[in-house]
Amino acid sequence: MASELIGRVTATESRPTTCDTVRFWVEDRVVIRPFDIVKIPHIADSETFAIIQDLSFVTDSPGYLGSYVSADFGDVNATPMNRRLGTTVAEARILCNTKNIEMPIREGAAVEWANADNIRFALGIDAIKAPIPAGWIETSNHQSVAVDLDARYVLGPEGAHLNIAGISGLATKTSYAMFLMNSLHQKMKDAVTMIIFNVKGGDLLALDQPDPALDNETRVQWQKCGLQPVPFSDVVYFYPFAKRQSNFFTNSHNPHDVLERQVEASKAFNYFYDVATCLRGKTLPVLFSDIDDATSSMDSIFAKLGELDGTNMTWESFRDFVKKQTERGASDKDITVQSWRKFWRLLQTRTESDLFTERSSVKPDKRQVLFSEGLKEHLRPGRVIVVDIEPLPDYLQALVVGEVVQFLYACKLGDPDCMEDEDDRRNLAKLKIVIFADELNKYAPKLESGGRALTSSLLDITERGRSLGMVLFGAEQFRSGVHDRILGNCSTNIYGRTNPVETAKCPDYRYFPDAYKSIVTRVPQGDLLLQHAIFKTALIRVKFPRPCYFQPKGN
Amino acid sequence: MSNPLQGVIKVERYAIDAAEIDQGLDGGRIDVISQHLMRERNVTPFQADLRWAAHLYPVFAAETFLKTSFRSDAHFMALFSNREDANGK
Repeated sequence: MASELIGRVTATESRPTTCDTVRFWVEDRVVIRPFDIVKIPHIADSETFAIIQDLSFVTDSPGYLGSYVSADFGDVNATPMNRRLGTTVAEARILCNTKNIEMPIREGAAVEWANADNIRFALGIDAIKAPIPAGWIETSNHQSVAVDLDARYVLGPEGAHLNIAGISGLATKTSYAMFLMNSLHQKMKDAVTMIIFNVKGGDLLALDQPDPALDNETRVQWQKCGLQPVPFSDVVYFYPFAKRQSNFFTNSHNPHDVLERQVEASKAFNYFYDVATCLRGKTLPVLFSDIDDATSSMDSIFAKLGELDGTNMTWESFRDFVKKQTERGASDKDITVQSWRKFWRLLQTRTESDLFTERSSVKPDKRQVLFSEGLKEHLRPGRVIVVDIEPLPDYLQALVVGEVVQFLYACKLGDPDCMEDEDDRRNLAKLKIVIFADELNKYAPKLESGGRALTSSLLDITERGRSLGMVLFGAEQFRSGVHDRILGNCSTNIYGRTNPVETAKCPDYRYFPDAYKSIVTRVPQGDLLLQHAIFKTALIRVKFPRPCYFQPKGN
Repeated sequence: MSNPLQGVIKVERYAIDAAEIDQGLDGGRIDVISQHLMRERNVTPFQADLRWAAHLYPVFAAETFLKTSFRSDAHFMALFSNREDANGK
């Protein structure tokens, strides 16, 4: 495509061009917008690329009154014979130069559209060795440029973790996370296992079923990204166990026919908790992680309960044991009877769900599994494990996420209690595990005190997971609600639509130029601002296709 | 406005051929010219130029354009001061 001049650089006394900024006036008929990328020839036969940050229209009118008087002293219907002298001025940030020249651009330099190859070079995408398709950029001159992320910066070892923020209801956060995970699944199938928590609706409960409503346009968009418009393959589902038989022993809201298909294909399992699982490690504290424990009396109780051998304990005998402690004189001096009573009250309400049952109740037709056993079996390259926590109350959702995360972390660290076989441990060490958790603010909230059981597990993953091969894909409505150290460790950040209060409140938006701040409050569905460690600019605007798996609407 | 005559534009046109010299200028043509000038009142160099009220915007724009090719005031003054210095010697 022949390059096309769209303007000329202007360097003035008060607004000179600098190493990182250039301004140019734009030809009248040209339509340009923030995030477009332009090419400017520079000294020594080099070319400089710049990304538009802001646009302004200037005239020679020194003030508002000039415009008022010019309209026949305020006649709104006055039509002038001559137009006032004015032009659009674009402010652009320098991305790079083909010869690494950092000299400011000269006055009058020609500005052209950058073509697709130019854009991929300017952003640093062409140098990516292990590309993961991440959508496409659409420029004002109607070009589509495929954008890739670098797998080394998504899954480690150079960088890891990803965060998506944006208000709900636009189907953007989850859709984009699933698009990226599908992209990873297609490009790096043998190296990655994925664990996906379904927290709302039935959106993620039929990931291996093609979408019957998939249109041709979406198919073309998938292909444009270098991907096949196919759903995930090799998926297993874990549903919360329920004693009711009617819905295949689960209280999941997944439609009956979808569930039936999964049960017939032996892909659906129902998870439960026995006493031994809860007493192991930090599982029990996670169940109570939202309870204020200023005096650390709960911690003492957990330590005391950790000494119990839960192998042959039923939930009834466990509750009896706790109840005994609430009787006067029964407990030791370290923990007061009042603390035991408080714990007893909480324990009663929090373990009344059908999830808490005994190993002795396991029957083949109920397809019950403990995570510690089910995950061990399914942690295979290329497998996608969906854990449905949608029907559970908040504290049980935290319990499930916490247990899964802690178990995987222990396995990755080579804990022989979690994985007995040495070969299995060695294979697991090589495997990358991607965990997707929506509503991250529930599991790792921004708190003054910190140190909550689940938050600390997630912090472990984001701070040490990169080298271990554990990657967290988190999503939340508002970044300001999530723990800073979790966000700080993400090499890739994605900003969907948010509200102006959030852009003012959350420090992460402070580095946005004003024009971007306003764009992020009104980006349409299917558009996102993307920040990735390898890009030569802080933010780019990408589009991505609709998901191509079936999304049941729930019962 | 500092002067009541501000905003009044004077246009001079020579009577060229014999008919114009004998009978004066064609009133209709003068009306057309006046109309055109009147319509140029919108968009003014208000605040940008002291003569704005009697200064048509196209003329102001042309002046501004011409001024961009002028040498700077300092340079211009320096031309004279150098000559004085030279004469003084």
